[in-house]
Amino acid sequence: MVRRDGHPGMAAAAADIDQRPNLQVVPTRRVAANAAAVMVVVIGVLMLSAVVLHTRLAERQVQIDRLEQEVSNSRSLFDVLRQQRAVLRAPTNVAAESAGLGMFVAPQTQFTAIDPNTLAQVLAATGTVSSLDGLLIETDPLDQVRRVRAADSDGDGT
Amino acid sequence: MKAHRQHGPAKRTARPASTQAARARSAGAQSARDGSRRADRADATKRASSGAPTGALVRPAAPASSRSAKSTTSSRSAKSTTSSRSARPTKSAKSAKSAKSAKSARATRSAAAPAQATASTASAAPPKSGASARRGHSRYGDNGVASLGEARAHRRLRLHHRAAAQPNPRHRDRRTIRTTKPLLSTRFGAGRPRFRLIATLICLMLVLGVVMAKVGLMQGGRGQALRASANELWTRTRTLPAQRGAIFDRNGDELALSVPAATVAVNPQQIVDVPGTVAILAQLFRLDDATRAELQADIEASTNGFMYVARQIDPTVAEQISDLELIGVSTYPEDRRIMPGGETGRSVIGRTDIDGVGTAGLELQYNDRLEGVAGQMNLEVAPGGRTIAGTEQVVQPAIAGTDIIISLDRSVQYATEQALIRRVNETGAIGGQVIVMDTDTGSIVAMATVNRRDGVAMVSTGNWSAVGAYEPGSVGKVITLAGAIEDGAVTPATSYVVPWQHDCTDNPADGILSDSHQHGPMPMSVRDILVESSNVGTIYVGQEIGYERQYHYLTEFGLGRVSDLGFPGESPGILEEWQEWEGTERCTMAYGQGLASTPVQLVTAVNVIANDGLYVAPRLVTGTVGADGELTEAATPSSHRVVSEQTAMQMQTLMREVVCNGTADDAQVEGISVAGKTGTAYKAQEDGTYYNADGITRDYYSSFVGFFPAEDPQVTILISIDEPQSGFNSGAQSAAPLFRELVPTMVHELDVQSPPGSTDCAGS
Repeated sequence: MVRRDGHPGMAAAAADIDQRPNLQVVPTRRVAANAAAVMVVVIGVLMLSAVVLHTRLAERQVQIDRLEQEVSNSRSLFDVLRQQRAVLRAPTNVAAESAGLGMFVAPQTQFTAIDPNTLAQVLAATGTVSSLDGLLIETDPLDQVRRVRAADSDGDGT
Repeated sequence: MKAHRQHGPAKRTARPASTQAARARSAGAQSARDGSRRADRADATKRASSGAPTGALVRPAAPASSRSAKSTTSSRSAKSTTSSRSARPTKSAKSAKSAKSAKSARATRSAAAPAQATASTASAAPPKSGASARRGHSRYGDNGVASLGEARAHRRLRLHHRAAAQPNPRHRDRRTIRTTKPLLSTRFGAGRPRFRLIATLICLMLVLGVVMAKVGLMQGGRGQALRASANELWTRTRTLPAQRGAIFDRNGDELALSVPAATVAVNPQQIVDVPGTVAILAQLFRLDDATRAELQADIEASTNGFMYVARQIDPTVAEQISDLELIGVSTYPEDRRIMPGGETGRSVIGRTDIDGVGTAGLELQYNDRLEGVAGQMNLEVAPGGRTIAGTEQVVQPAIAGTDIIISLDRSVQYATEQALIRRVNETGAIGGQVIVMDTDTGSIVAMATVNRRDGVAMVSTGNWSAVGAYEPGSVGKVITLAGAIEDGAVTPATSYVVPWQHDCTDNPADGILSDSHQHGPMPMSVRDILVESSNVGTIYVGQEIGYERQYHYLTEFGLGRVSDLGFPGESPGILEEWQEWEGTERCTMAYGQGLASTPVQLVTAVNVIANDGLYVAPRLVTGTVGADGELTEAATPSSHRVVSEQTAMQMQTLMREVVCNGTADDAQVEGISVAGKTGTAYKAQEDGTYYNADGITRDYYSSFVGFFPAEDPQVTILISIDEPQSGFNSGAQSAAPLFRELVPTMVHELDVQSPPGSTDCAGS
């Protein structure tokens, strides 16, 4: 008996089948998948790094903002303090305070020589001599303003 | 399991092989198989029509639904055992089989169509034979076929049968549509995944293309405008005011500076509870009931969106208000301009308006440099218009204004102003001016202006020392005599017989010019003329050099033109060209009448003598401090020589004689060698005369200009008293005493050291 497929029987068909190439499942190289996985990992790492970087930047910016605010506040305080000092040192205030203490303008003026030691003692007593090195403390308001401005300018420059 | 695992993938990998096998079998075996299949199908059709079972694959007739399910199952089974390509053969396979398939399909349709009306598709499968038929299934499917090609052929047949049984939906009459599928899905490829995928992809590509085009358009051509429009919607630009520069005196003490303050404003349209808000503000500002009611009325009546409540207040108060977060109430920083020394130097420094813009004095003159450059800050706003915290971005930082260092000495200025106020009160004058000048540099150390306001003498807000012009009177004799000596026309010893009156024009209408006191014709040297301040004698000296030379020296000494101060509103004085002198002016010009000069011009002119004949332009600003703290010295003031050093020294000697032996003996200072000249000028009235409305009395402008130490002048001082009362009319009476009072202060504050051998008039 001949089968419709031309084989005389099952044995011949099986033999024919056995002669066929032994096909096996060969897993395809999942290059794209691997590349995608690598890309995903890389992108994930990059995104995580970006998040960390932005977080750090934000933290730094917060610190910078806080420092700038402190600088601004300090500058404002500096202006207020120098205004108060200027008021206290103004001749108007000194005259008013001295008048309150019973002082008045001398009708006559006499210039006398002052002992250097006495002058030094007066300077020390009025707080214009440094207790560290014994030198006169620079209290020129203009010089202080210049130094503050120079510091501000350097800060802006950097 | 092993075989199953092999079969699954093998469907894909063996697909080409099966195709080749189909090609190989296309000629011989296929024709034989086709013949037997047709015979089998004919038998099956007969069996189906008769309802008899046809072996294992023939199943009993089932309901329509069951048949449909079976058909689907059979189809799926065929699909699972054959590749999808078997259902859709390749081109080569198609071409090889197309003819046979068409023939078999036609034959099958013609033979089996009636049977299929009542039998399932599976029942139309060919019968199986042998062991496969007995088992009812084979390795190629459940139909008991012996090979893959047979299985494919069976599937094709089934598909053809199904196609023959079901009319093409595309050819249906629309009026007779009877389908459960939506028309759209039918029309757009339902059941055709490839077409659907391609169509979807095309749609997506079109959409993506449109989106990309739109993006490109938005980013490209119109990008700039769109970004600008977007920024305008959610960003606001706020001006950052620059801190106004300070004004320092020569010692670095602040005369004017800006300090942090705050301004409170309200939006009347946003305030819901006006009385409550006003009550809180009134409590913080400590407003009285009247002011509170006025504020409430103003807010309620306002139709604007902005109204100031308080400007430049203490920042702590503003912070309290801000913390309350009152609706419609806002605060913002705004510097306040203050003068730590009160009114000291007000007439020179000037003032600013509430917005910090200079309106007078140095604040006005140097406003461009003091105000700095305002910055800009962008911030984002919410839809309601409220700013979003943390979005502030400084686009352009504000640049602080330049600090200005002026030559005033705050202590000297204060002492001068206070002394002048006392002197004005003592003399009953309406005002006065004092200028203290550094002889060598022309720097003005003090410039005080006092006038009466409501009967009270106080520091003036106007700098009349630069703005006002007065006839200098006898101080002008210094210029005439110095010019005459410089030209060699006279010497200090040159003598004239001087009467006390002089008819300058031989015109009785012009009047007779006379000295201040009556005396008979007497020989007077040039020295005597200056010491005694003889008008007639000075006229004689002036006539020695002529009008032109007099005019020359007047201009060389700085009269008749605005000084280098450039003070706002500074007067050039009045000095006509010598050709235009007429009447008694030709004579009075010699002793300081008929012309007008500002106190600044006058002190600068006399300073020429003190400075050994060298004119040094007056100046107030000695340097600036930029935003970077860099100190920039001001340009050296212009100078030119007017008279020789010898002439100047001769004049210094003569002027010292004036103090020691002449009209200015009230200017003598113990221990200090002083030189100077008094001046007593008639004040011109509005009617052009020198008389008051009564026609008898006159108003005087009395002055004294001196310098010390006379041997080495370091400080030049001008004192002018405006309209002193009777008894203080002359400069000697009203101004010279003030000079004496001020010199010790100058010596102390300016650290003036007299040269060796310098003595006062008493020789001490």
